[in-house]
Amino acid sequence: MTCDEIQAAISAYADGALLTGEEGDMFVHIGTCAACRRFFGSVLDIRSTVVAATPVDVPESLDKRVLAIRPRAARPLAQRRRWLTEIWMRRLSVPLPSAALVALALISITIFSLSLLLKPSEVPLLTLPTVDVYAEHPDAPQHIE
Amino acid sequence: MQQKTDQELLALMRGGSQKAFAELYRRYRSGLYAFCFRLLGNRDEAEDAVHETFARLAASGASIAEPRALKAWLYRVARNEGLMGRRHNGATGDADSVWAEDTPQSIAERADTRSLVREAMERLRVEYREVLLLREFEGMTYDEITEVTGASPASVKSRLFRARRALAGLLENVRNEERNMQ
Repeated sequence: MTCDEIQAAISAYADGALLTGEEGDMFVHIGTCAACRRFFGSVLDIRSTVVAATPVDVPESLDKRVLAIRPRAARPLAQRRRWLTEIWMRRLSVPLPSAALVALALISITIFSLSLLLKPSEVPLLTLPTVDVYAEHPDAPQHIE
Repeated sequence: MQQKTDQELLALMRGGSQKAFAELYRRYRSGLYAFCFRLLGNRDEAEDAVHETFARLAASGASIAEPRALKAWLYRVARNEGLMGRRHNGATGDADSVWAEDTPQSIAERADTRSLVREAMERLRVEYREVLLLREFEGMTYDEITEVTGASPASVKSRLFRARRALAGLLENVRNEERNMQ
């Protein structure tokens, strides 16, 4: 392992994040390498600086400001659902009927326009030739006048 | 009397309990304020960040998805509040450098190792400083730091290594100078 890799391992070791197998290699290397030994010492120095750090006092003004806040109670689920339903209904009550009216008006205009454009002779004949059909039927009487 | 867990206090707070909210504040105020102060280097900004954090807890504590991770939630909100609008403040040095300023030579003149380390930590770029503070002062794991900062665990590990190496390099320079003077 290179010194870079060993020093990365030393950093992970300080965080308790080094794999068990790597620990032995790391300490063997530290025993023979002055640079990595110094790095190990510096990591310990950083830790001891933190341990010896003077506590930071919390200002009284912060205590007063925070303790003046009142927590907002969460609404019960049923109440939240009712509220959501109301919002849903409110949101639908205006746009849905309006959209239905507009759609109805458009359909009416389209039908009216088509009826004006088509002449009566162009209107497709939908009536069946009932007499011919009846005549071709096997049960039909032979002579029809 | 048995101490209530964060989850229990959060549940009481959701019912509107001021006492539970105050207990949560007392539980986290010192660590959270110290973290913000060390991260931002300014008492007023630290106070505002912590105040805003608890205001958000009071207003939307019910929406915390994972009550067991309340500590990480509080630190994340405080960090984001504190850093909002000042993310790039002081970051005038090389983007690849761990230092916020070009070279922190002035602090290398400090005789005391501890004050040197402390001041050097203050000069680290914020992304390196925050992981070092959360790891060394708060004792957070990589996963917890990931929760707070949004960086991946691999990135947290790498930033911690680079920050330590930068501080170690600074300490070594000072020790070499001391040896040369003798």
